[in-house]
Amino acid sequence: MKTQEQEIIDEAYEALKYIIDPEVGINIVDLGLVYKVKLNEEEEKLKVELTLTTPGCPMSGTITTAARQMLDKRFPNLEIDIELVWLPQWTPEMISEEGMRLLGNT
Amino acid sequence: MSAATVSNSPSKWLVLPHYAFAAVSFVVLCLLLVFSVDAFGGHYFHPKLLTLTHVAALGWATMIIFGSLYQLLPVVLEVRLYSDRLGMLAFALLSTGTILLSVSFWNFWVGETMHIAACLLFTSFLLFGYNVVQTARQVKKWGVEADFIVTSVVWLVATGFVGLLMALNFQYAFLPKEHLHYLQLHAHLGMAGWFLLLIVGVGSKLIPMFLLSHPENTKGLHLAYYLINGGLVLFAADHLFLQTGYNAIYAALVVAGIGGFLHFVYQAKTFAKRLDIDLGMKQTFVALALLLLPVVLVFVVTLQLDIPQRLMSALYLVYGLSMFFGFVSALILGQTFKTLPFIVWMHSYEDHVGRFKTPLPKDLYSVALLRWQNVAYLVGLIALLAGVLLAEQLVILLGAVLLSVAAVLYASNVFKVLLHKVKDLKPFAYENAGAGNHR
Repeated sequence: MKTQEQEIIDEAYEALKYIIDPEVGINIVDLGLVYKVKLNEEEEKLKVELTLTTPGCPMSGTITTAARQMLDKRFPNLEIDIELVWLPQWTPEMISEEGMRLLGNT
Repeated sequence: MSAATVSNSPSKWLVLPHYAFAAVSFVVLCLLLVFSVDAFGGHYFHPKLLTLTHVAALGWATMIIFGSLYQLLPVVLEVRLYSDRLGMLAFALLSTGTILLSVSFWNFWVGETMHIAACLLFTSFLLFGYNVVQTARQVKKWGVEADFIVTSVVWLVATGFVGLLMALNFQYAFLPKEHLHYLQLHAHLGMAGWFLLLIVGVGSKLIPMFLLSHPENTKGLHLAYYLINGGLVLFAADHLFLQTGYNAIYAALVVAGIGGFLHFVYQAKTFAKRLDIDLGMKQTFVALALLLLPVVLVFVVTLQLDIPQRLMSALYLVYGLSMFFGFVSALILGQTFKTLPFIVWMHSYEDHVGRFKTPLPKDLYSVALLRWQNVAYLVGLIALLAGVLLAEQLVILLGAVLLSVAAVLYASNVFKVLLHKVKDLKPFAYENAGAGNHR
């Protein structure tokens, strides 16, 4: 049985799936851009670490803002902390199986 | 983990006017082609052909490269553009200079108007070059892409300088050799130094990015950089000072460099995770295939083969056309719809993502128009090249008309994207975001 913490984390991942990488056309979770979602229950804080396919990507502001807005709406009682990180560097190997399927790789 | 910075994108008012001007230029270029069919029967030094070449090289290709580079430089070099204002000034000078130069060539006015045009264009190149170099100076992680981009700008300035001298030489005749001698230098510095190097530099970053591929081995790119530049430097030095006639050797160096780049692209394609390639990328691969034509023809025109004069003149024309109407145009026709919709989308929807259901960049243009554009372009290009080679004016005209159709379809699609308006967006129904283990 899932703990409440795990349920919130899973819900956060599902909410982040609404954000589609506009160039690739698949969501940022299956694209492997969301590295970590962590809940600090004491501080009522949800921390997300995400990256971009390339450091120069012009979408950095858009995706972080979108993630924040999405999670703010989904979890109005939690403080949302979005951090854009570059390490480890994203590689196509981080795409999930579902992402690969969406990209036409069966 | 190292934290990242915010977006480096420049203002859309810097980038988008370049796309609009280039689209109009491409339509004008193809319409001028329709009215220049008679000019393809002889030598390439013809007012109408010079007009076509400069509308293609400046109003169409350089214009869109300037605009897209302002957007792409921060992506490729991972820093902010040095100055939006310098970019806007360069746009004003490039657009005015292109119009004046084209009118001058069409009417063969070799006096003041052409001199002013050449000065405006050269100043525009200097400003652009300064902006690129100052941007590149901020780069923390210098890569081979930066080498290609910065060096291409140096060649652009050199091309512009030779062009300026030639414009003045029309009236004052101060250059020691005949005009055609410098025209060959001017053309090749522009084609291989500016267009080719820039395309290789930007392409080596964007093609893997669009294919979701990470080719580790960049040896081919480094080799390409030295071979292309080596070939160009030797060609320019020989052309100016020695005239040994070893042009085929210098061409071979450049061609070997192109081979290094194509090998890199092949690797990127092999490792690609994205298999459903869209029309924009398909057109990019068509452009790379079309590059083989000038690559072969450069040897035909430099090896001084025993070919009848009429056929040789036609081959020279096909060589130039295959570069501008072939490789460069095909690439732009495809890459426009990889970059422009994204730029417009980003400026239109960046505040709405995460709150509303937004369209994707690919929803901003018509796929049907793009498909027909690509078909009309390819058939038109084949007809144009065949017509020039066979000296058949009707076939040239057919090619010109089909290319005009492609240009109109292209411009319609470009303006459809440029004039895109955000309409009634629906908010997300968050309650539908069900729980589930994604991993």
